Amino acid sequence: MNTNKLLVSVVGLLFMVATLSAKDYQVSMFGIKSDGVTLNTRSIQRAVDYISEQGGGRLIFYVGRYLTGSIELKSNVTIRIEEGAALVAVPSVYDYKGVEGCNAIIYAKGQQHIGIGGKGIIEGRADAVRASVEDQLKKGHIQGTTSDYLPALICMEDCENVKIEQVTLQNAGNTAEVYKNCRHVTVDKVVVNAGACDQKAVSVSGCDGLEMTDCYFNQLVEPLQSDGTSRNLSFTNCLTSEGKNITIEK
Amino acid sequence: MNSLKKLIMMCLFIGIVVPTEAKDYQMTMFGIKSDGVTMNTRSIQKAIDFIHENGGGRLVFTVGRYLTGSIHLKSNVTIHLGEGAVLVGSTNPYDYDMELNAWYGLILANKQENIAITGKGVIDGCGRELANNFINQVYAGVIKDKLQLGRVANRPKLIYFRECKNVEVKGVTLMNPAFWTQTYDQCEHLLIDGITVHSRAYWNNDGMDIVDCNGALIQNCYVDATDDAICLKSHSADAICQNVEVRNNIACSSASGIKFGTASNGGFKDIKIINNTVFDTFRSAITIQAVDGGLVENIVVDSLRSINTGNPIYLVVGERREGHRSRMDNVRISNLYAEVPATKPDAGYVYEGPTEDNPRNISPSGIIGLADNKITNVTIENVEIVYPGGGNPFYAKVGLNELNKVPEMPKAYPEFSQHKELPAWGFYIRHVDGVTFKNVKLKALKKDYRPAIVLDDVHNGIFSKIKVSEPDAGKKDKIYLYKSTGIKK
Repeated sequence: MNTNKLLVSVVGLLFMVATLSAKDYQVSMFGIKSDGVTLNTRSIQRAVDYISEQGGGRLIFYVGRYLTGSIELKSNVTIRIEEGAALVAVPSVYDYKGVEGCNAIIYAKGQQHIGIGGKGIIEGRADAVRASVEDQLKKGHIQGTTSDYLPALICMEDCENVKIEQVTLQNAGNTAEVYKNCRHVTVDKVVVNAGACDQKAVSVSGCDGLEMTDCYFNQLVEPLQSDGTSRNLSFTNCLTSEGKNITIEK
Repeated sequence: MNSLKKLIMMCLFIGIVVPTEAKDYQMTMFGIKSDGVTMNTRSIQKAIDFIHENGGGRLVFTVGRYLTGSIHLKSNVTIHLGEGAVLVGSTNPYDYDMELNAWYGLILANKQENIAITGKGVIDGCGRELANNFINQVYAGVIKDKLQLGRVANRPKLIYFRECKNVEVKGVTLMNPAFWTQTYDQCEHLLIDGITVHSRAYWNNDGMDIVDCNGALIQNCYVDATDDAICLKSHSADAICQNVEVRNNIACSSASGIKFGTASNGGFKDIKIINNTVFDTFRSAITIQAVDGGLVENIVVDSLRSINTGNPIYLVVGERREGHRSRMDNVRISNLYAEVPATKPDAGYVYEGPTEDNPRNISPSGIIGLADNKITNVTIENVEIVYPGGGNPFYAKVGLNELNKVPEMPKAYPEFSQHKELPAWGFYIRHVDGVTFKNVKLKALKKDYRPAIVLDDVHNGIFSKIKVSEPDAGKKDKIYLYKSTGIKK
């Protein structure tokens, strides 16, 4: 009787562990190429969709340069960019989501339990993307201003339980991280390399519960843009290149 | 005053003329790159949308390789591929879109008008790599497919146009698709002129499929395909493929050269097949199949040359699904010259047609209906066919005393060889009412155990000026009648 109980509890425990541990998927499984020239947008998107359909897990990028346009993150999926891996923005303006809504390399709308992690890089190639935008504006194929079309690196809208950790975000053409109307966002050990660019690094609006810890902003201007519509924001040990702690109070 | 009036008139006239002239847009205008590695899908799509929204025109590609995934062609837009320009299909399955949730394609259009693909350039589907990448994704479990016959069933075509009006495809070379090269489905006023099709990169690769179209002219094309080369189909029981002319084309295939079917749900009506050549082709030069409940009528095949091709003519009625009765009436084949080889005509193809239905001696041409659904009013006139002969009864035999042994095959997939051994070497005609043979020359190069022509359940026939030559034929019948009535010889 006792052994039976034990068996049941062991099986139960195993089952719990199995369901709790997110499954890992290598990008190569989806034919995603690390050569830096193959445009992977559609393959990465298929991978994200597939993992979300399967109940969730991590999509893992190992060493290499992965060229991509806008991809949409879906519930229960974490994009993990390992050390030595870079998600690299494609220059052409038409490979991004565009002016409506969340224009970013990785965006999500109304999703839950999503994340971006790993010690890798998201490389925005601001100059190349800007050149494409300005060229097409000049030719009249698109209307508006350059900044309307420059993508953020990460944009989360109406999402819940978002976790961004460890990654380096660099050369964003626009604000590197955008959080709109999200709940329970944690941003940990994220480095933003913006250099001399006068863009804000982080934009927060309408959020409830955003916790940013141990982040570093390599830029000269004030990194944070918050319009005061958010609640429960906390910043701990988040430093600019001049050693200033960033806080919600200006 | 008068001159002012004139000026105003002139201005009005120019104002009317200018917007209707198709404008040219260079691909560079949209940041489309010719380097062969930049994925241009979205930029090309932007260009098409922009031209479409601005009154139409041509998107012009000059020398270079333009990598792309699926693009959607819109009304009044022409894709012009100049000489040296190659539109290169992505080898990534996920770069392709579907139309109607059913068909993948590189260039797609649905319910568009006045669309065209022109120029001396090339569309290259990179089909073998693409098809293999599909298989890899099936093995990875991301794409669901049964891998029946070892391949993914639905692979991207180069062109899929559905319900489009005024369609032109002119001059271009279409090569290496992963699947059927091009499908025009329920289109009106279709012109395919002077294109070259090289479709040998994978198998089950039809050269062109004209599906349920009304008004189509296919002319001056060269088609080389590892499945049916020029193929008329009818996918919908509520539609019919009609008013189609296929003229001055050259075709070569590891299946059939010119085929009606196999999908023949609605049928085929008022079709002319004029002055075409089929060579090195595994199956039939011309085959007309009514097996899915459709109507086939008023078909003219004239001036067809069939060189080194397994079978010159195969007309067949079947009933693949019970109760779906087809009808075949008024088919006229004239001025045909054919040479049938003793060996495999498509030998050396990368994807050869499958050797099947053996043992059988060289198959004759066939006109084969069903016992309760006869083919009616067939005319064969001014036809000369050279067969190898050499039919050996010790290899396979259906004697004249055992004609009932030839199976009735209403549900089978129709091919000229489906019955295996047939009892004639020139023509086997069964279940036909109303047949005229006039000035028909049949030549066997070697003695054959079978007669030239066998009629089984054939009624109301006229056979005039039939010339049969066969070495050492002896006294056997040239035309053997069985259960047949009203035959004039």
